[in-house]
Amino acid sequence: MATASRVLGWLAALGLAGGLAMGFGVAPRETTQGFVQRIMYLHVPTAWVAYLAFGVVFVASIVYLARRTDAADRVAHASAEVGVVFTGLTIAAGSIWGKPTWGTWWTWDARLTSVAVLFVMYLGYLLLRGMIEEPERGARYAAVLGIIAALDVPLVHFSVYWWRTLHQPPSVMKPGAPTMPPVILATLLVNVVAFTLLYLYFVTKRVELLRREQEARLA
Amino acid sequence: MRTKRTKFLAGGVVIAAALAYMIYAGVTQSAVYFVTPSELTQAPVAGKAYRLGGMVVKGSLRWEPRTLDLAFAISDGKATVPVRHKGTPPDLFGEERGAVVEGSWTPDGYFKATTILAKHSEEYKAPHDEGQASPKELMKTLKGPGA
Amino acid sequence: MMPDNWGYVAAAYALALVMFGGYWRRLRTRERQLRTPPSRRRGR
Repeated sequence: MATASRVLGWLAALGLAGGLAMGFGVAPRETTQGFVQRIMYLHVPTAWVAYLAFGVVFVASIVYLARRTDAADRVAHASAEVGVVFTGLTIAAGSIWGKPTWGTWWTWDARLTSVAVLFVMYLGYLLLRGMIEEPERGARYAAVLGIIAALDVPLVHFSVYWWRTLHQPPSVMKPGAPTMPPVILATLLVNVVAFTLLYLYFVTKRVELLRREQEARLA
Repeated sequence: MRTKRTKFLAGGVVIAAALAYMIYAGVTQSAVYFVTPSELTQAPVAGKAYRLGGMVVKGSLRWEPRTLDLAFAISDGKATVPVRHKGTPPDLFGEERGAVVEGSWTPDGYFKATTILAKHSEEYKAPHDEGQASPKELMKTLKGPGA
Repeated sequence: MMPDNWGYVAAAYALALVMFGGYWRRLRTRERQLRTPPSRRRGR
């Protein structure tokens, strides 16, 4: 387990280095937005990985409720925590991108509001886990909240279609060809792989820590 | 243990309050984030705050850098609304691009904007892409037809 | 037409470094705490 985590860590580091090199060395200066468009290589991968993280929470929570296996609970807990970090960064990087392009750090359109709700719900999830002393009951409540909160993920994704928003619709995650040149798409995908590896590294590490914490409690 | 629990509880209350506020703000504001020029012109209320969204009409943009007076028209293809603003617009703002303006309708028949937000499209382009004049095409236009 | 805005890009990537680096360090610290004998672990 420890070696798997170490390998993932190095792969993630390698991927991130490659992603940076692509983002700043290979990808061209985008014509409309200029240099600042390079924030996309950070904002979009972290957003997708956040989707993935909460998808994992959703599945692991269902598995936990069905089977009551501690391993599933640990995966849900770890993935939620890492998901909160990724969502926080998605929001922060998006905000920094929004200022020079949109002209504002923040606005309450459906995309930004739904993602803020997602962030706060999983913060609440982590607080709930810390609040309940009895582990089994805490895990059960958390699983229910984890499932409910994950239902916001499709809402976040489709918000730009269902409502009028300042945020533009997706360029890649949609039916039809991506609306970006191949070199920008390739750069984006390298970064997506890198951040996915980073997510896997963090989650395996956190799961292992949770397991040892539990052992220490029982000892 | 007690204090830890109260701290968590206080945190939970703060989070719950924030969540309630955000859902409230979300439902009331995000559902109709902006009105279109068609909707505004149908029943404009002078003095009421609106968020107006549409395309900046080609050829409508007037910008006075010395006085910071900005004037343009915003359209959804059916209706067009004249907008006036004082201040520098975002860098991405321009003709034939999406924009969302915050402000109010005036009795004088124009929209007085307090904030201008530029919308960006989901399209990304590399230099020398389609839709962007490549050096070869530029040469063609310089040489003129028949060259 | 668009100015370079490199400061915004730098800020976004710096923030990513701080957040991910901070989380990574938090995991490392916890790892070390769990490795020390239980008698010396109290409180958290």
